[in-house]
Amino acid sequence: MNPVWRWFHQLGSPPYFYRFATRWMPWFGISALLLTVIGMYLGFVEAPADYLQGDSFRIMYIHVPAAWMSMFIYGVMALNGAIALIWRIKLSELLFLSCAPIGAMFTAITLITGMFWGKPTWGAYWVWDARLTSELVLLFLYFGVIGLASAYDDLRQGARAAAVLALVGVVNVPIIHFSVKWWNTLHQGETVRIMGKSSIDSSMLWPLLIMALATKLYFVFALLLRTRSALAEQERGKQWLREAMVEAA
Amino acid sequence: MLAFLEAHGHWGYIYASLAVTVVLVLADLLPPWLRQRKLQNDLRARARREQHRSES
Repeated sequence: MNPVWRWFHQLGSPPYFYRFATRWMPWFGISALLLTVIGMYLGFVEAPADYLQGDSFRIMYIHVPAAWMSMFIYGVMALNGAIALIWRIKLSELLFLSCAPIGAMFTAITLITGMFWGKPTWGAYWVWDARLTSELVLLFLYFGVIGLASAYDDLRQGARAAAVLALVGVVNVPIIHFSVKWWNTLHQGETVRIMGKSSIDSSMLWPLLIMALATKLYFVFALLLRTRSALAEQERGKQWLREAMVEAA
Repeated sequence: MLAFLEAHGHWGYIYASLAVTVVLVLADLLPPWLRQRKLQNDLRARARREQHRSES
């Protein structure tokens, strides 16, 4: 078997995952913290003020990476939900459930920092624009997944019911992404492009990319932390867990 | 609170964004971390009790 596939199969085993999470979590956490410090220094201190928006554009260094993560995490959550529904892998159910609060947190950061950026730029904290409204719908979808999963006494049953909701909600992710193209919105269009030239100066772009990487690493850290904790609660009577905890001490 | 933000100009909004982000990140990280710590302490205490019982 291909070594990468073998590693993926091993990762599905609770003892292997627990040890993997315990070993790698600090590395993801420390790198996320270091990159956040560097990104924030470059973005909030070194980058020049915008010629139109002044200093308020610096909110972008929190708002934009959080917005990207809110959609990316939804994709990861839906993928794990699909795996949990089709193959009934216990770890995928836990990963699915752990994604929801982290995604909700990033979506809330996106909406709140967007409001703080909107006031000096547009003169209003909130407008019922397509981008803002679809992002708010995303927050409600995350809340729905969390609520539906916790409405069941059986964690596994709850995870599978919530996975169906998450899969239906996937339709909202392209709506958020393309809303600025499909509708005439107050929210600005794409400034950072993967294909083609970004319409943002490199002195402002680099801190943004560093912050984007920091949020990705934070997500892996938080996901490992939450899933490990949920796994430990689910498997608390097992001998392997005691051994793993003694090893980690 | 909104009047306070508006009185402090652009940096008022930036600091408010940073503060909200820190609060939400802590709210995201603390519950699973505390749960894991509690579980670890419970398991260690149980292991100590079992060891004590087997020695006596």
